[in-house]
Amino acid sequence: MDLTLLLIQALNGVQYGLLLFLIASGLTIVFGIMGVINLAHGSFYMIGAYLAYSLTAWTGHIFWAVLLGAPLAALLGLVVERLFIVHLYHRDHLQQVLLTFGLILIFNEVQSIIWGDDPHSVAKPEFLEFSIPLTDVQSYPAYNLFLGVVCLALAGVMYWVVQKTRLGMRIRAGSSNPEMIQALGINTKVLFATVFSIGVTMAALAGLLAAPERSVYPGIGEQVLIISFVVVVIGGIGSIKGAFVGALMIGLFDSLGSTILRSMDHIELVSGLSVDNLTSVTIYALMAAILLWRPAGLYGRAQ
Amino acid sequence: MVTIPRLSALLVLAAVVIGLALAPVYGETYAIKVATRMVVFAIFAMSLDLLLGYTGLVSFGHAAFFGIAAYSLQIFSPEYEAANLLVALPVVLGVTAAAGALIGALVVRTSGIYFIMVTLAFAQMLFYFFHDSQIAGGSDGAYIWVKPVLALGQTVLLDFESRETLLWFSIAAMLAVYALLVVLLRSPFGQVIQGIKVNEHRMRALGYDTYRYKLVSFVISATVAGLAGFIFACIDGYVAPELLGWHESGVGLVMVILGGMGTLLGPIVGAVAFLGVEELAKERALVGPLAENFQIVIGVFVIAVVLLLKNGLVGTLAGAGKPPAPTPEDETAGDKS
Amino acid sequence: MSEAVLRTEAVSKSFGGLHAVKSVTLDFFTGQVDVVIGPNGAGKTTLINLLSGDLPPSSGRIAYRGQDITAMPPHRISQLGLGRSYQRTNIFPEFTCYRNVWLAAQSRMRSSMRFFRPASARKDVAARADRAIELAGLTKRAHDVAANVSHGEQRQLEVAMLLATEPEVLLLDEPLAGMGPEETENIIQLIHTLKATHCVVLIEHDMDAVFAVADQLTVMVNGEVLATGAPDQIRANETVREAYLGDETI
Repeated sequence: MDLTLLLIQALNGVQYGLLLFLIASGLTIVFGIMGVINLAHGSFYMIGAYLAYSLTAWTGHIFWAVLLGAPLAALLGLVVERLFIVHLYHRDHLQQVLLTFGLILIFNEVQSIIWGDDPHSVAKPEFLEFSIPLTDVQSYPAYNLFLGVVCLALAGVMYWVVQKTRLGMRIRAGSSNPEMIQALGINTKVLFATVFSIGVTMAALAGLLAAPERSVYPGIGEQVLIISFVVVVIGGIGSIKGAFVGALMIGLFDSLGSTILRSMDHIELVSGLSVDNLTSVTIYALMAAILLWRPAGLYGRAQ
Repeated sequence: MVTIPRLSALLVLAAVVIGLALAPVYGETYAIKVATRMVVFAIFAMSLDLLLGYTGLVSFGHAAFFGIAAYSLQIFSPEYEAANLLVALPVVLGVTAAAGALIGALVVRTSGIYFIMVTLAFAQMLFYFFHDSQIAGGSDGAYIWVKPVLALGQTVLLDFESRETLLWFSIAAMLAVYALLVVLLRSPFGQVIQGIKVNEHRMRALGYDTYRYKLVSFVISATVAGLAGFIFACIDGYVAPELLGWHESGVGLVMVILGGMGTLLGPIVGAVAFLGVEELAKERALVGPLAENFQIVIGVFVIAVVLLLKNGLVGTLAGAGKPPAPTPEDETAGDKS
Repeated sequence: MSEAVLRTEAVSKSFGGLHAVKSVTLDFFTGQVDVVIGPNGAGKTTLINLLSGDLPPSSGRIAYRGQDITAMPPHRISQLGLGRSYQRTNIFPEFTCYRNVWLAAQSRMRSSMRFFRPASARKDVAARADRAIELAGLTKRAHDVAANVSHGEQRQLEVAMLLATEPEVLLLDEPLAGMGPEETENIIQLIHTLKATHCVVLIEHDMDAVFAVADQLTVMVNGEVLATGAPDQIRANETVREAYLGDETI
C-alpha cells in the first residue's frame, strides 16, 4: 500500500462523503423541522438513479438528465408530501416508520415493473471520459473528481440558503425549536411541503449524479438509506452541520478503512471469516463507539 | 390482557390454534408450511410487542435476533446427522440472549428516534457480517441438511423432518410464550416495564433504575425472537442473510400494529392476518398480473393499516380501544369492598 | 436540634447564560418543615430538581446524612430516602390511581427483578400502597383512571405516590396548588403529623398555608437566598417585605 493509493482513497472518501451529505441533509432537516422519520428517503435516491438511466438514454446526455430529473423529483416530493407525509405530522415515530416502510415496498415494485431487475450503467459525458494520471500505473477518473466538485458546490448552495435566506432562517428556527415556527406565524403547510420537496430533490440529485459512476440496480435505495441513518445518528438528528461532519467521517472511514482491511485479506480470524469481510461492519462499529461517547450524536441536543 | 386472560381472548386464541393445527387436513406440504410460518411469526411478533407495546421501545432491528438464532442453529448442527433439540435449543437461545445483552447494553442507552435508527443500524451490521463472510454460505445462505430431533438417549421423540411434528411443536411453543408473557406482565418486573412505557422519567424519580429493566426486557424479547428464528430455520432447513434484514424487522412491526400493540393476542392475530394477506396477494386469480409484484399490494395494505387501524384488529374489534390493564388491584379490590 | 439531614453547600445551576440558582447554602432538619417561598422564576423548583437529582448542579455540593449525592442519578437518590412530588403533575395517566401508587410502593421492594409470582401477591407492597392512598385522602378514587380524576385529586395522587416510597426527606413542590379547601386542610394536617419523623421541604405560594406549617422559612429571589430563619423573623425582615412579601399578605 503506497501513498498514492491512500491519496486516491482519501479523494474517493471525500467524494463519497459529499454524496452522502446530499442524501443525509434531507433526512435530517425533515426530521428536525417536521419531526418525521422518513424511511422512503432512500427510494428517492434510487428514483434519481433510474431517472438518470432513462433520461440519459432519451436525451443522450447525463447533463440533460440532471436538468430534467431534478424538477421531476421536486414534483414527486410535493405529491408524496401531500398524499402521504401530511398524515404523519404529530403522529408517533412508529406510525411514520410503518407508513414510509409501505412506501418503500411500493417504490421498489414500481421500479421493478418499469425498469426490471437487471443492473444498468449510465454513460459518462464524453469530455469526462478520461482519467488523470497520478503515477505510471495509477490514475483518478475525471468524472469522480467532477462529481466531488459538484457535490461540494451543492453543499455550498445549501449552506448559503440555510444561512443567508429567509427560507433558511425558518429552517434554522424550526430545527432548533419547532414550536417557534408556529409562534412566528409562518405558514407551516407551505414550509413543510417546501422542505420535504427540497429534501427529495437533494436525494434524487445525488442519485442522478452518482449514476454514471456507481451504476443503477435494485436495492441501491435501501443501501444509501441505512448509511444515511448512520450519518444522521453520528452527526446528531436534526443538525445539518452534524450531517456534514458525519457524512465526511463515514465517507473517509469507509474508503480508507476498506483499503486497509483489504490489504489484510490473508488474515483469517476464524474459518470462513477473514479481516476484509469486516469492511461493511466497521462503520457500524464507528457509530456504536460514537454513541457510547455521545448518545445524542456529535451535534445533537441531549434528550 | 388481565391477570387472568379474558374469556373472549382465550376463545379467539383457541380458534386460531385449532385453525392452524388443522392445516394438514386442508392441504399438503404448502399449507403446513404456511401455517408453521404463521406460528413462527406470531412468536416473533409477540417478542417484539414486549418491547413495543409493554416497554415502549420501538425496535427496528428485531429481525437480527431472529436471524442470529437461525444462523446459530445452522452453525451448530452437525452436517450429516440431526442436532438434538435438548442441546441445540439451549445453545441457540443462549447465543441469542448473549447477543441481545451485548447489543441491548448499547442501544438501550438511547431513546426515541435514536433507538429506532440504532437498532436498525446494528441489525444491518449483522446482516453484512453474515453477507460478506463465508461463515455460513455468505450471501448465498446455507442449508441445515438434517433437521433437529428431540431425542432421549437413542429414542427419538420428535423429528422435525416431519412437517406435522414441526407445526405442532411450534404451536406448543407459541402457547408457552403466551403463558410466559402473561406471567411476566403481572410480575413485579412486568409492572415496572409497563410503568416505564407510560412515564419513564417518573419511574426513575420513584427509584427504579430504568436502564436495567429496559435491558432485561430487551434480552427477554431477543431470546423469544430467537425461539422463533430457531423454528423458522427448521421449516425449510435454509438460512440466508435476509433473515436479519430490515425488511423482516419492518414486517414484524407491521404485524404488531396490525393485530394491536400492547395486547397479547394482537401479535398472533396480526401475524396470521399479515401472512394471510401476503398469500392472497400472491394469488394470480385474485390480483391478476400484480401477483408477480405482490409487494405493491402489501405496501398499500401497510399504509392502509397505519392510516385506518390505529388500535389494531384486536383493539378495534374489542371496541373499547384498550383492554383493561393488568392491575394489582384486581385482587385487592375484592378484599377491601 | 441535631445535625442537618440534608445540606447544600454553595449549590448553583445555570442554563446557558441564565443563573437559575446561585450559590445556595441551606441546612434541612428532621422534625421541622422548611418552606421555600419566592416569586415565580426565583429558582425554587430548580432547587428541588437539584436536590432530587433530576438536574445536576453546575457547581457546589449536596450531602444527605454526610454522603455526597451531588452527581447521583435520581433513582439512587430516591432509594436513599429522598422523595419528591412534582409541581406539574407527573403521573401515569392511563393507569388507575391505585396502580400509580402501587408502582411507587413497589419501588421499595429490594428488587423488582422478580419475574414469576404476580406482583399482587406482595402483601407488603399492597399495605404500603393502601396506607399512602388513605393518608392522601384518595381512597374513594383509588380505582379510577388517573387521567379521569380532577386536577385536585391528581395533586393528592402526587402526594400519595411520594408517601408510598416511604422517604425520610419529603420534597414537596407546590402540593396544594389546585386542591380544594378540605383537601388542603387534610394535607396540612398530614404535614404536621409527618414532620415529627421526617424532614419536609415545601415550596408553597399560599401564605396562609405557609405560616400554618413553616418552622423555618427561606426566601429566594432571582436564584439567591434572600433570607432564612424562623417565620416571625422573616415576617419582620424589612428586605423581605420590600422584595417579596408585600404588606397585604401578612
